[in-house]
Amino acid sequence: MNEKSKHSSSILAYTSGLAFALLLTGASFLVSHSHELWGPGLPVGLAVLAIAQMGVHLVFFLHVGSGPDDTNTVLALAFGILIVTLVVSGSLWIMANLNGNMMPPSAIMEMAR
Amino acid sequence: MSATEATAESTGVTNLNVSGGEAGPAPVAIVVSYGFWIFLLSDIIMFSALFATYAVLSGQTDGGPSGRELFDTRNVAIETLCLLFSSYTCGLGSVFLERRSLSAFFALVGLHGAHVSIGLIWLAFMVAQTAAKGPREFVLRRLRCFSLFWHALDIIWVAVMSLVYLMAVRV
Repeated sequence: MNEKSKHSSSILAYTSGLAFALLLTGASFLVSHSHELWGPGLPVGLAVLAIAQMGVHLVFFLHVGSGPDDTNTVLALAFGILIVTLVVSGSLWIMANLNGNMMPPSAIMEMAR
Repeated sequence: MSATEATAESTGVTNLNVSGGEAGPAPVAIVVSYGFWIFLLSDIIMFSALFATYAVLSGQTDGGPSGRELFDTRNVAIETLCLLFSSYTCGLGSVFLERRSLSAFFALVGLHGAHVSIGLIWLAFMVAQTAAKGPREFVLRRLRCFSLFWHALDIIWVAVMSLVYLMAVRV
């Protein structure tokens, strides 16, 4: 009985996870292929949808929860997210800054002359 | 001398048992799945470096064809469905686009393809092992690790799909 209910609840978790994932995937495709979102806001909208879907995968498929057994996993995950955020946002920030400080090509041609 | 050592050892053991509460090291299943989780996170961090590279370079085509002209998002939609349903018959290592593109693209999508291929080999191996040895403890443990790996690949694919393909559409 207990084994059986555990079984069906995990099947339910996988099924609802799949439903959420399909829903979010459909939403990202819809948003990118239509004019529903304001153009410059599109990357932000897609990023939000992607992060939401990653959350769905973590909770429903990878079974990351808030139980006492999951403390180590969640801590490791938090550290991983910190590193990923530092790498990605740091790279984008630095490269955008460098790009902004680049001399325009016409000025370089002017100097070479 | 040896007698005192023996008593020290035995008291040490007793103290450990009294203060430790739970006796002995953690079971193998917990240690292995935690270690594998650490591996997956480090894998994701490696991917994040490539995601950052791609995000920086993807706009810098110097008048060449951009992602919008190169990618067919219908294929991406089909692949996403395949991966979500984990239908491994879908050959994801297949060609996404033809020539002339950024090496950042191949580094990112190619590395993901390599992970998928390794996952497929691992899957075949696990099918054989489960058939041969039955659902024993270590077989179940390996299956659990494989399932973690496969779902982590799904997560990375969500990021690839959003960054590389959908952001390239930009209607």
